[in-house]
Amino acid sequence: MIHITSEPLNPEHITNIVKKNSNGAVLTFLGTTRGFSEGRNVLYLEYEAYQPMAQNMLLQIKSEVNAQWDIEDMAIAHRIGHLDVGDISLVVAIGSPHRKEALEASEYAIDRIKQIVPIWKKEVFEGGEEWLGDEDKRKEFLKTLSD
Amino acid sequence: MRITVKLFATYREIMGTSVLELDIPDGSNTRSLLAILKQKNKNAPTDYAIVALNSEYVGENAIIKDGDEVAIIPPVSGGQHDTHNQ
Repeated sequence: MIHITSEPLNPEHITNIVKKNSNGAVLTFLGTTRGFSEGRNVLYLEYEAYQPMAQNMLLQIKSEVNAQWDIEDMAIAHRIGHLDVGDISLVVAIGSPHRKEALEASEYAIDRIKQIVPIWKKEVFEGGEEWLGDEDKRKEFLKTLSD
Repeated sequence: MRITVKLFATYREIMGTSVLELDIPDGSNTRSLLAILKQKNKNAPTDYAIVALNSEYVGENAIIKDGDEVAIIPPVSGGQHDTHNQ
């Protein structure tokens, strides 16, 4: 399941998608919005996606995970729009027969989401606002682009 | 030729719109498009922009064709000055 929505995410529901009798390990990662960042008091966040490319990139990440770890049970949900502090912005759930693969694949998938999925967030804090992005991961990715 | 340019996040705010319909010279590539956007607005960033052509990432010398949808992709979400994010 790959899902981008402006509705609140339900981690239990998303986790159940990958929970199967053949999977001895089920790992669910939640990304949540912080109330404090760089000494700022965060008021809320705005997420924006380029659709359908964002959805396609999440599908690509799922394929990459499947190719590297032979993991088929994977669900990713990303919330967009207005998020309050403490809201869940990202859920990545992975089910696999053994934990090692699930742990490795989870870290890989989260890194890739930050690298290639066209979703942006604006942090609105007391006294200002700023679009945030991971420039290091982005530069790594820029090097891989060719014509 | 006529193309559609989609703008997001920082870039959308700088340009003041989320979509532009542009006539650009035949044979233009993504680098020359960024230069055209820079001419329209001197604050348009060109050095770090990643470009997607019809929803696929491309390099800066990718040729643009009539009717293409070009998206300017500013940094993706993640918190550039906080390595402990998520």
